Amino acid sequence: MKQILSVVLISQAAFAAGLPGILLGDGEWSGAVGARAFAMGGVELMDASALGSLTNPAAAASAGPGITVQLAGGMDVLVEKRTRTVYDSFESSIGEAEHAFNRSSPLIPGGLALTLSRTGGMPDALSIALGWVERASFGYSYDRTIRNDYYVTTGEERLEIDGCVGEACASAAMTFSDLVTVGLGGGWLSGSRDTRWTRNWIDPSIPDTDEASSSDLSGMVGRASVVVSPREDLSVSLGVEKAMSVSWTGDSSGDLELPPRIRAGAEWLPGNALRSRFVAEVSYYAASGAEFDGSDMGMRDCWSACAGLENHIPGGPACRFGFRYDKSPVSRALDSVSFTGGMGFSVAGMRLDAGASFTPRCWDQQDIPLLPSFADDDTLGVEETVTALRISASRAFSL
Amino acid sequence: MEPFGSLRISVDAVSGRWYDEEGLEANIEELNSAISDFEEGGRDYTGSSVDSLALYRRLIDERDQLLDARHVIGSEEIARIGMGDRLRAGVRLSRGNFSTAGHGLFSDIDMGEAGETWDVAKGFASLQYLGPVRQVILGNYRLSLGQGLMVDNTDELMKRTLYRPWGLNPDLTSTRQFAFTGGAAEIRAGRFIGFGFFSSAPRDAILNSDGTPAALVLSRFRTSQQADAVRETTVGGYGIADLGGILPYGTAIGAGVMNISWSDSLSPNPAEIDIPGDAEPWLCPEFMDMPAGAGMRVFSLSGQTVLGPMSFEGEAAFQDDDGSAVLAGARWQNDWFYLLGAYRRYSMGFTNPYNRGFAEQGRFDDTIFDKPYYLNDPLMGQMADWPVPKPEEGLYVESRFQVSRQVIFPKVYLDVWRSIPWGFENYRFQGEIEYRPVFPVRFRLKYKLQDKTKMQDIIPTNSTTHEITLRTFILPPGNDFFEVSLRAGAVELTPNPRYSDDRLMTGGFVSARWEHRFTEGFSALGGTTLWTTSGMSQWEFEDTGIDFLDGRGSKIYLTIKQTVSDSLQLRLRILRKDTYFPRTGLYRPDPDDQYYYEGDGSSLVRDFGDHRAGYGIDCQLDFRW
Repeated sequence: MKQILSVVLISQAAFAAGLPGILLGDGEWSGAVGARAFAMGGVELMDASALGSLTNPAAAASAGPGITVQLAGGMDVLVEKRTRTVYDSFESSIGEAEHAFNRSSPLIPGGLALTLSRTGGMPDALSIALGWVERASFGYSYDRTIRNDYYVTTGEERLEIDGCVGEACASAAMTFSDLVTVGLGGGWLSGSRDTRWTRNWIDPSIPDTDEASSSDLSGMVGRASVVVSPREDLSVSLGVEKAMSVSWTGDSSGDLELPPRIRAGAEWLPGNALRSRFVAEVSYYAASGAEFDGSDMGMRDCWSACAGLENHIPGGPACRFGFRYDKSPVSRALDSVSFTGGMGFSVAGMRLDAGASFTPRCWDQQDIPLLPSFADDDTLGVEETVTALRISASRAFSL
Repeated sequence: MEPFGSLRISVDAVSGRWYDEEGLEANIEELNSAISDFEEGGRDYTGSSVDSLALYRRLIDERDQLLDARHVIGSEEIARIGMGDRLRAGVRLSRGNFSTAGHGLFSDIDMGEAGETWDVAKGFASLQYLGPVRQVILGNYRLSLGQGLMVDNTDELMKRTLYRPWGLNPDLTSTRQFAFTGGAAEIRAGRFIGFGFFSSAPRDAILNSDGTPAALVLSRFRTSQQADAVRETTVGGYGIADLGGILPYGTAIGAGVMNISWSDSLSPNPAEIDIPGDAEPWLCPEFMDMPAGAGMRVFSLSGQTVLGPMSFEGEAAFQDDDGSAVLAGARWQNDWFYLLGAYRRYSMGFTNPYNRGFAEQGRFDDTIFDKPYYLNDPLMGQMADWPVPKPEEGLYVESRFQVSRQVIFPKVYLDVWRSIPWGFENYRFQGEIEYRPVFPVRFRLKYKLQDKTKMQDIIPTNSTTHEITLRTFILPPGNDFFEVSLRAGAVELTPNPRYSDDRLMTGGFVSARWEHRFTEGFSALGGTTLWTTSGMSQWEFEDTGIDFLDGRGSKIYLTIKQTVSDSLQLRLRILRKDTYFPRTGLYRPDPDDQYYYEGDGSSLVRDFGDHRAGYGIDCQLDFRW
């Protein structure tokens, strides 16, 4: 889904002079919603939780009898440095001088989900999950004071972007035997994005810049998945999701035709002294087939892979860590790896989880098409890190 | 028979700004500089054999390929399977960080997405213990015989070592340029051991401006111009007779021959390498004797014996064009002491590309290839990494001596050698003493002294290196390991006004690391290093490799290792490295000689601070079944 949003946002960027915060800040993968899965490489299909059931419908069957409620949220800490290359008269680079330094910490709403299983006269084989999930949120600001050689302020530049895309969704899982569980789900996608880019100059003869745009997104998403458990300690899952009737309205408008995304994952319980749980997942998204208003969006096919481990330290909390690789649909310069980690506690019948991921990236502004210019000839280099923090709480009620 | 095997998946990702003198960014800048030199009329190829237009186009194309490699994330996948004790097979696919792949995974075959994901493919299948046929390998294999003078087909030249993997083995290592691809067999019958081998594999080469191959190269940045430029066919055999019982046990003699041929004749021509009329004259006799023509043949004689506590071993190799190499070593050993001595001599004409004999320097160390800005094509500077010993003659003595339980000299050596191209005498001494006051605590003090002479335009220059390192290891009872290291180094130089008349370069660092084992199979390792240098970059061993430290800076890393079960191991590592380069004093009185921002030639830059933050995130998964 994140990838779908990524493409959505990229199309926005392409057709409404979109800005880099959208495209690069959180427009791509922002992690699993639940903090437990987030800490284990950000697995989404293999997230065995109420929130995970909204992405992998068959996972709803893993909920215990009764009602399970889960709430999640967090914050992204974005640090970005933009640099300009300094050359000598022989055209040799001697280093990078800092041009701008930006830091922001937008809050991430996360999601709320509940599962129903074996309660209220429901068939034993049926499990249901309902909820709302934040699929992407973005908050980005860039500001710079422009000075001349004598340190006198000559202008101010500012960029602000914020928005959120969420999905109200439902899933149902049917367990046919100990071996196979099948799930179906879907949701209503809605969101908005607002951007404003201003440049104000002290010199009145230079025209100021003030560009603003506002757009709304809506559409539907359908999902299907299957979980196969050939052994007690091993389960394998396969899922597919497809966005349908997705469109932008507002300052930029048009329909999006997005290819399906396929995911496969596995969970293994090796049975060691740490009661470890190993999960791994891959996904593939043929983004080259994405179209906006019937036009090819020029995306690359992309894939991701992630793996994570959960350990139960004797007498201590659950300890988790993981790794993730994402190939960007936009450019190789935006391919990324993430290191994740986190902990889990049980307090008064409630499960509390905290997770974090760290993703560094470095690219040149020229590498990314359609970005606005913050300096002459788009020569800026960008060094950025995203440290994402997530917490989630869940509790089961037996009825 | 149950099949068994393993699968390794590793991702070695770096992000942020990494810079080293031989790295991708440095090569891009060298190419930019060369292109600019062309465009501003700084080069005159009148009367030269160089096709200047073809060279200019090549530089631009190479620069574009390197730009395209900036965001490549390295990965490696290795799978091995076996059945019983006779059948083995394996495959390795990999691509290095910042590597170009203009040539694709296989030459002339469009592999689509796979060609972008990987750029090296290796594989083998082997059968073992078939009567006198000890093993037969089809695919990639490594062959290392004698002292490595005739054949040791690895990409790495291990300096100052007489010991190497011996014999015939399947090869799924990172070796690429010298990988043998074909078939090989090992036969053991009575006292006789025989090896026969055949290989046909593409090889990288630097090219003359007319497209003909000039010399083979171990290319780190394999542009489509260099990659797979020639096909090499290698065939040979080696026989060893075990004379133990007739003569003292451990005595053997061997002889072999290897024939190398290339699909296109090599034509090393200095005029195609050196920029005509520039500030640096052509001073590289090592290149003049590089292989020319369509092939070469190498012969080898080797022997070894053991006499009581002493062993002797040696090899002599000869090329069909009169080049020769000799290496002889002896070792005396008892429970608390050993003494090792070795003599080697490699003639100027001994250019066998598979020579990995004991050496102090690579063939193109301290040559013009260390300075790519003096080369027609800066990427030819990769010749400096050619892993073949420099023509040199030297005597090496090494010892280990245990004085008591508390005091040990772990390794002390002295190497005195003569560089044959210019006849300069050089020496290198290193001594290390370990003091262990109580069992869990060890102190190691190491001192290195090296004196080298290098040829220059008029008179040679000299450098003397001093380096002292103090390491402390602490292993308290339980599950912890601590290490603290302190290093200081200095190089005394012959001053030159072109380089600010510097007489002394210095550098040093302090590092610490701590490993804690939580349970039998789960541990975490953290470390940090602080360094400062003034011209003398430092190197440091990390838990997974070697790291070069320049400028001044700091780094911190964390590694998590877990043996999840007998069939799964996982290793994760994250590193941050900050390097600072204050750039001050950039004022230039000449308006045509100013520093400026890219894309804004009229801007003036007088000082700035360059802060480079780099990140490394690695993941390795090992499955076994």
